Amino acid sequence: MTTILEVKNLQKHYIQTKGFLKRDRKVIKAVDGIDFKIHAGQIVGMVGESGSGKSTAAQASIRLLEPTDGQISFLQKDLRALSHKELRSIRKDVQMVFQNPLASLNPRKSVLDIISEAMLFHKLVKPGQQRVARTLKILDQVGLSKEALYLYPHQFSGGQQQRISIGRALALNPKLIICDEAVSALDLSVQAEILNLLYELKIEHGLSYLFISHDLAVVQAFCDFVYVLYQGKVVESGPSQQIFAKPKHPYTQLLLASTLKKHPREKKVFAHLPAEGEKRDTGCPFFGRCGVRTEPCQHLAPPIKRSKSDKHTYTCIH
Amino acid sequence: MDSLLTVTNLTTRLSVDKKFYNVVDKINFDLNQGQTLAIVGESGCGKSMTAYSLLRILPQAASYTPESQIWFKGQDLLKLSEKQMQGIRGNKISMIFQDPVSALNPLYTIGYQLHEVISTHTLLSHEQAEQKILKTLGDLHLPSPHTVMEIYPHQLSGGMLQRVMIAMALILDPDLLIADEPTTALDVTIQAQILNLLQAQIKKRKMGMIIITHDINVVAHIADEVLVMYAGEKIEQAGVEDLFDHAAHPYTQKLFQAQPTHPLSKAKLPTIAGKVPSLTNFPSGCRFHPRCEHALSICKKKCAPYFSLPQNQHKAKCWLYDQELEAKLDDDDDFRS
Repeated sequence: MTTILEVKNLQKHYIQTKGFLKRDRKVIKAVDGIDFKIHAGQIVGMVGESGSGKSTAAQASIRLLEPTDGQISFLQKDLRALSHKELRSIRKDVQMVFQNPLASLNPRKSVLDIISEAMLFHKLVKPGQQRVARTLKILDQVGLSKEALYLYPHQFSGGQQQRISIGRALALNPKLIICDEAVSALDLSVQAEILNLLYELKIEHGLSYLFISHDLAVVQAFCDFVYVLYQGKVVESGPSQQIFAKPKHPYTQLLLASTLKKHPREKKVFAHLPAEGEKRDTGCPFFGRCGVRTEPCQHLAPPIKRSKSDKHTYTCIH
Repeated sequence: MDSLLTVTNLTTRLSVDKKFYNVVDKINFDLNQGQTLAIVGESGCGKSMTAYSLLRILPQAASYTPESQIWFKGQDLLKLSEKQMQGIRGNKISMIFQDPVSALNPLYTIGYQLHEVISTHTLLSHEQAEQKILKTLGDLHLPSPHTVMEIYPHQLSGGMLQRVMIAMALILDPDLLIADEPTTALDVTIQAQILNLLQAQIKKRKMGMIIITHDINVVAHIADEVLVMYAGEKIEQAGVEDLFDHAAHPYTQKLFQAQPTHPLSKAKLPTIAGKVPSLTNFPSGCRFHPRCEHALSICKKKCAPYFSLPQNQHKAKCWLYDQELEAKLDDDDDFRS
């Protein structure tokens, strides 16, 4: 299997200053040394609470945000060594779909303009007939009728708007699409439609997805491989089936235990742990909220443990 | 148990281009003290408008039909003057909104905003109000309530802010709490905690709660009674266990099936064909018939009444549950599929 994107020790730090002369400086490690890999045709999920660094990690991995440190290899190229101009030509191989379709589509542009803008920029089509023909083909692929061509984003429902976003991403024949909470704002029945569409497109075009979501049920159904993030670090990763069947890290266990049950008669038992943990410099980041913590966790960085198959890893002393 | 709220024939219409369209269409329900009613449906089905209608906080273009009645503790809210209504909002009936960040004022401390609620509705002294606030914040397990009162909304996380919003809604011991998607903006780890807190307070204070949500799992977790809405109408109503065991209306059944429960690599997720009809263009007869797999010819012509199901109090607005359906299928042309 060819690797589309491989990221090693990715870091993104922000510096927060306080006071009149900005002398009080604090480094916020939004992404703190993350490794991940996406193979061709794979759907990789990234889960974690808000503030865990999922979106920052995804954007830093394609240099939408300039990473502080780390190695990024995208389609066998060292992404961090590229100039901005070279980077621009690579951008067509990776596209994004965002959570709120209406906010990510320009209200002043028609669907034709929205979908074909990047194709014109990358000179994939010529203006005129070719542009319209290609856009119509994309509309068909994402399940919109040809009447949509000259309409504006506000004239569509949420699900249709997300189809336009997907069409725009698809227009450049990308290898990788990053879906940042792409189905979170949608109704249940529409969510099912969009997930089906994304899956069909993946099969048809051999796409890979980096799928960021806080909805564990969706990730379980959709993703092949999952990374669990906590405070800018990967605490557990592995094939979706294994992670959801046998979560190893106490944080993953907490996430799964917190999901609401599907039937009113199922037992409603929840671990009552502090909802938010403090950011720690030493030891395990999850120390403050962990139910199985012991004395050493406070000082020692948790070791990386691997399953026999080498695919499922987690970082915990226990 | 005492009936707290009785809504009959609640119809809210919106005027668009000098025509009236019913956003909420003949909704009926009862709510008892200590009970939680969930209103579920997808966006645009009228669930939030129903909540706004109860509090009379509708947009300018909306009005009630004369048949609408909202009986709350022996008085019809629709007959009250605006002034009287102000004494009810926030005091007897309070509301929690989806996004706590936009519901709180960023320029005032949390303590100030909580004091404001009390001073508007009561004659309590500042000290008495302070005691009340601290006690309510404590009930909601907010760590160090004194500090919370002195800080501004942006200094708290979403989960903490939603607790403040709940405190604000509960502080005057209302009889009814309306929660509009109270946990949608929160992380999964906080969601269950907030729902448990809400439920515990409702039972403790013997209030009634109406929770508006699109999330079936939230319904399973917290509701006693469920009302399913589609295109402005109530299409099904049942006790929560009944509904999860025997969803009756084809729309409700489809909604349950659309949940992602199996890997997509095995099979596609079931979807509902077509789309939600727009307000200005509802189909004739049953509003779900163009998307329904079981539609009979009567469904296109005539709106179904509520048929009772064998289970207690379970009602569905669907011709399939007509007791005499089999007989009618033979005799009446309208009932052929």
